[in-house]
Amino acid sequence: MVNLAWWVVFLPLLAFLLISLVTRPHRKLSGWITILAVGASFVLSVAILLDMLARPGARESAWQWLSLGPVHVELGVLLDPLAAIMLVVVTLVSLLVQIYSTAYMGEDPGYSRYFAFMGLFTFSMLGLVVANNYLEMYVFWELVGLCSYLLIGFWYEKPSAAAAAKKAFVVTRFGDFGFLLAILLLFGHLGTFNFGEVAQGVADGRLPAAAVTAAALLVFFGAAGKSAQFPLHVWLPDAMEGPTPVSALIHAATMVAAGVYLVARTYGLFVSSAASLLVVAYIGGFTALFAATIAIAQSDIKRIVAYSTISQLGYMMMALGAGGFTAGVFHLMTHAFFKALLFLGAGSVILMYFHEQNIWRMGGLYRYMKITAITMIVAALANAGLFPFAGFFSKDEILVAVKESGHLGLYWIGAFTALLTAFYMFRLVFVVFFGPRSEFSPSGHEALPDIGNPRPAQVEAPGAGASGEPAVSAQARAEADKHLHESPAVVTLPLMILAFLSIVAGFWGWPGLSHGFGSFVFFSGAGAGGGAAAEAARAAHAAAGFDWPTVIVSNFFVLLGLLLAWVLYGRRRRAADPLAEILGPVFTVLEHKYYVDEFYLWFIRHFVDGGAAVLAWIDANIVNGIANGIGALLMGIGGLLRLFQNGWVQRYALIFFIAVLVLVAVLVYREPALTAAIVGGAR
Amino acid sequence: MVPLPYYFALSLTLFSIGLFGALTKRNAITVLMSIELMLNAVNINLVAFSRFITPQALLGHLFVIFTITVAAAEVAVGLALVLTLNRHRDSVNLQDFTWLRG
Repeated sequence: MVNLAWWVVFLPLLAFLLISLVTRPHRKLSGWITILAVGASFVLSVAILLDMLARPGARESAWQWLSLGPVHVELGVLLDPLAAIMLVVVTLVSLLVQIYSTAYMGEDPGYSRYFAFMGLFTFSMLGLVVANNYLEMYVFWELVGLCSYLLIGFWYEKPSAAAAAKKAFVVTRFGDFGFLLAILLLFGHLGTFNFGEVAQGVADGRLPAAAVTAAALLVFFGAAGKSAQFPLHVWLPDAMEGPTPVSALIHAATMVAAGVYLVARTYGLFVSSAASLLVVAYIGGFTALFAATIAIAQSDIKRIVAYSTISQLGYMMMALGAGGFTAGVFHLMTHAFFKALLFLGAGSVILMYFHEQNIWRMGGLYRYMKITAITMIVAALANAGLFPFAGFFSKDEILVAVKESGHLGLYWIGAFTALLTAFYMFRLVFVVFFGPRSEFSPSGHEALPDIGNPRPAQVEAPGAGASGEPAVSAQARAEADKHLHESPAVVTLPLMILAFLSIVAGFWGWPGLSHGFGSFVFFSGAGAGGGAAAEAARAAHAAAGFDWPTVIVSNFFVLLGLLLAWVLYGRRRRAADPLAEILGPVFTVLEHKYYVDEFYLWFIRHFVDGGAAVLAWIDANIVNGIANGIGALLMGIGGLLRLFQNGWVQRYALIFFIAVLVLVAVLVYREPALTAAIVGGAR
Repeated sequence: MVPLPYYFALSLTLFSIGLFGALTKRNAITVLMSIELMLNAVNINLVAFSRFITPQALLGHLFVIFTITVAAAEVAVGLALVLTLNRHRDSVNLQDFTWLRG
């Protein structure tokens, strides 16, 4: 089975190489090559998962990659339940996204390039999942970062896309540096990169406590960069510049999942350091709430979903930080399904709705795109975490884990975030799919002012009545309606598959189930979250079934959020976001994402640029000054010497004569014996 | 017999005149002549030393004959140079020939 994993990883790479080297001019063929390769990987992954279910346990195979003196680097495969689950999730989501892409990217001139990058992206993520040591993981980790750069900036001729790609790369690189430091720190102390050996070394106490905490926090810093945790979350919303299927892949299965996966993979470090667990839990909890509050004020359909991703990733981190290893990984899996669905659904809307992303220009789309609408509602319910959708089970697991760890504050943050989640998801659903069509239509596109997120002050914009009456003529409306229809089957089929998974995936984690998710994926290492005591606690927890107070609280909050969304957006069409009036200036702050980007820009302008200016001055004046000074000195000496080279033969002769006199004088003075001999000889 | 220092005095006088001429005269031919003077001052020295130190061997004389030969060749080359320079620049003033100035 371990050998199969090599194939799972390398098939997508093969597709990438084949497309970039051979079949690039043949668009259709290139697409099918990647789909076939990832499809085969998916089938093999399922085989691996089934085998793992039958015989759980970690299996490892590796060969020596580098051997430099005492440094041995392996290239290996580590399969355990966690990796097996991730393999299936990554290949499945990647496969569905690629089938979907054949329609979404159908007319793009870079079709072959797109599929080549998709293959490379999938390969990188799969390699990261099966890596058996820190260095190998780091290699794939960087590859994932590179691929996200390539795909976010896929439409590189668009300046905003190029900038977003650069931002994603730089911000995640920032985190990667932490990860690299952690690897070096661990290697310096333990002399190995292998996950198992490092975990063993940490458990045996061969590492000082401070070093463990430092390593764990540095690893988490890297994970925060990839998984867009505060304060390194700024790249993810901008990553919306990429094609929508890419967003689905990044948000569901690859890139952002990598951070959570890294923490799960190196969980042995975290459980050995209570402080680092606390940091993970609180950063996660804060990010969950922080991103959810931003999401309620956004007007771009993809950005709402993007902030939802950040928020859900916060949940996962919070779970891991609170010792809920199983809950975090479970949420990672269910989230992959419904978040991919949300993005693909949003993509379906964008594709059919003339590449419009502003939700305030949509409305009433349910009539035209029933499959998209229904699957999106399923995804929204799953994301909100209403019983019995997948998100409910995993989110409740997280809340229970947080509650059991004793962080009551975090528990209520998580519960309140559930309310916000339901609210912003159904804000999106109500505005986009229900109510009357907005005044927007493709023929009236130029006539409309670019209203962005309509605010009360802007309602009086020309063409829009105070009550939001349609301003475009009935004829234009009818013209637009003719173009509105459901997306093709290659788009809706992945949506339906994902919707099905979003409904049923949660049942695997039904509390009290004898062969549930919790008895398959769990942390078995030593430390606070593992060991015999934790084993017993987990068994008790699994047998206990539902934690009814949490179920009631979370579902109550979800329904409350849903109701609020219905009150504000569901009953009738508004010209402006009513929330803006209710929240007032707070809304502006949320709309501007708490001005984090602005703060970073300000910080860079004033401090980083200032420091750079000082260094530039030092470079120009001191470093260059030394180099130029040496040159000037030599030129000065040369200038002096060239006075002697006046071309006047008689001057040369005079100098020669003087020099001879001097030599003789020196000789007489320094060597009196020799002089005496010469003079004496003459006598 | 005239003592050795007298030869020295004569030689030194001739050499100084030659040196002075070689360093100060503008005319290239005068400079060549001055160089001849210096060579001959050395010749006198050589012959005088030979007479006083090794009267039996003609070592100094041998050197003198060499010197005279070389001096003749030198004058031939030197005058040829002066002639060519004069043809090119219509001048035998050494201060006009500073082409190798740095």
